[in-house]
Amino acid sequence: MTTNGTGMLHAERSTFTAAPARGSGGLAAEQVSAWHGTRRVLHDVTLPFPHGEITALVGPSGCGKSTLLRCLNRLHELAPGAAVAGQVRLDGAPVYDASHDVEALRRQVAMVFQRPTPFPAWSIGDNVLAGLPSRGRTLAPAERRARAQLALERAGLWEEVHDRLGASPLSLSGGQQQRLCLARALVTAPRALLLDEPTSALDLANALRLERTFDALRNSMAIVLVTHDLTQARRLADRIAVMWDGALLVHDTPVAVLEEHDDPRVRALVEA
Amino acid sequence: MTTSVALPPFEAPPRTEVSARLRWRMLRSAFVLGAAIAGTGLALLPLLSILAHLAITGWQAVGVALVTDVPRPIGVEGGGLGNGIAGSIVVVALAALACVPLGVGAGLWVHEHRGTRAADALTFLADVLNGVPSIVLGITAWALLVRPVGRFSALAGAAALAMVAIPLVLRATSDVLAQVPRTLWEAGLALGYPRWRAGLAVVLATARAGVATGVLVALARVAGETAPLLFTAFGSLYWALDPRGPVAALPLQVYAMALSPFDAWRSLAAAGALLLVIGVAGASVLARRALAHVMRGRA
Repeated sequence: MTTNGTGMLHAERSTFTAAPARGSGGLAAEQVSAWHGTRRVLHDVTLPFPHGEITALVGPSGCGKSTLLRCLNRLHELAPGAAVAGQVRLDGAPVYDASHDVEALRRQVAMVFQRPTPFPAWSIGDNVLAGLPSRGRTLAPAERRARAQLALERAGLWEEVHDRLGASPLSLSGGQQQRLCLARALVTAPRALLLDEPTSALDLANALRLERTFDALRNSMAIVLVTHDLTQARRLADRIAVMWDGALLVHDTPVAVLEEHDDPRVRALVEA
Repeated sequence: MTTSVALPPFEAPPRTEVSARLRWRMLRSAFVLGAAIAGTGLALLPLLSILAHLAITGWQAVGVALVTDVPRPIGVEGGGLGNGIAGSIVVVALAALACVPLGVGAGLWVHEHRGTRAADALTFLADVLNGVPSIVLGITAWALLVRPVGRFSALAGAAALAMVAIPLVLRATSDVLAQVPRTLWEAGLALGYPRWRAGLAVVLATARAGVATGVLVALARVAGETAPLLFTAFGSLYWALDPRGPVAALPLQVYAMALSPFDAWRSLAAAGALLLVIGVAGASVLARRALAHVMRGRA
């Protein structure tokens, strides 16, 4: 990879496009268990999240969806009293090995939270570039703008903010803030994207707009979507994993899970 | 086509009854409002009387010489508190150099590790230190920094003031940081930031206006402290600004001159005290305005 600005931009673009084939690589949870203090909240969950696919995690509140998501980028272990057992692999590499660089992992496995989390003290442009070393300040101005533009275009926000990158992110609407957070997550060219109920705080129009963005990102990474909205899961997901009381209940295609599965817990969830 | 719905007839309550109830409520409201205003006035009375006393006693000494001249010998007219003002600036600036990084850093650490025994212990210690009379901290600074060296100094005075300010800044910082949503910190970590960077660049940056306010208020408070400086900075009648030696300080001058039997010195003391009150109040108002400005900018 060349070290000049243009070269880095091209490398970034190539990372987005020259990705592993669909269904290969990606994330995988292997026998993952998690605890909050003495309370076990995940029970030996084994689940693949292949590259090029959207996997929806659904289930009742408190069933362990978000905990599993946080185990995938090792955020769970930061909670006081939290513990994790088992293994998570990113393109085959074990991320819970002591030698694995946790900070590099989190740049490769990006995350968007339930509520928008723009950094209020920074401008829109700085927010987008927050994932780059030194907020991209070591790059040439044109290169910084190009990186910000690329990420904002992918998040579907460029047209709305291109003329006010220096403004406060709090001047944006809730939906725009969430897309800004998505752009911030994408700027490091992640190999996986974790979405923790990303549209639950948005109105329908903004939620659908964000869904279209996720759909467009589908082929460039593994996407894990935690949602309570089964219609959203049906619209977006290639596979749906139903969690129940900390364990994996079923993992299959949307049609198989939502229409054909006869487990009473799944039926109760679908018909609720 | 429009349709109309027949509504039941509206029956207004008897007018005289409503008016009587309304009058009674207005009377009660006026009484409570009057009591609140009277209470506020009573609470402000000591402050206003102090300001009035200082203004009346100190007006003769107010002038350019107040901030440019040093105190004159007894019996000589004129003079000012310039060396005390400059000395206070030196001592408070040195104290800020110590208390801002230590207090803010400790506040950030307590916030990051809240709920742990170590964080609880540090918070408890800060609260205990906040309750310790400042003269005790002055004696501690004297024992640690003046006695071994064998001389009073601005540095020792700054250390004593820092001991007073650090727990204040720590408490203010951790309280302000507690208002920052934890998800912001997690969002920083999710970008690959190490904990320290997420704390500094995201959490602290988000709360910077509130932290700055806490620091300013703490510095304004210690700027008026006299007791810790009695044993450390000691005071001086000259333009002595070397931090390694004794320096004058405004509170020390106010203390010494207010006790003197000479009208000119007592007038200078009153003018100095007025400066201190205005300085503390001004710093607080500035801090609040800056905070309000930042918050408006965010909205």
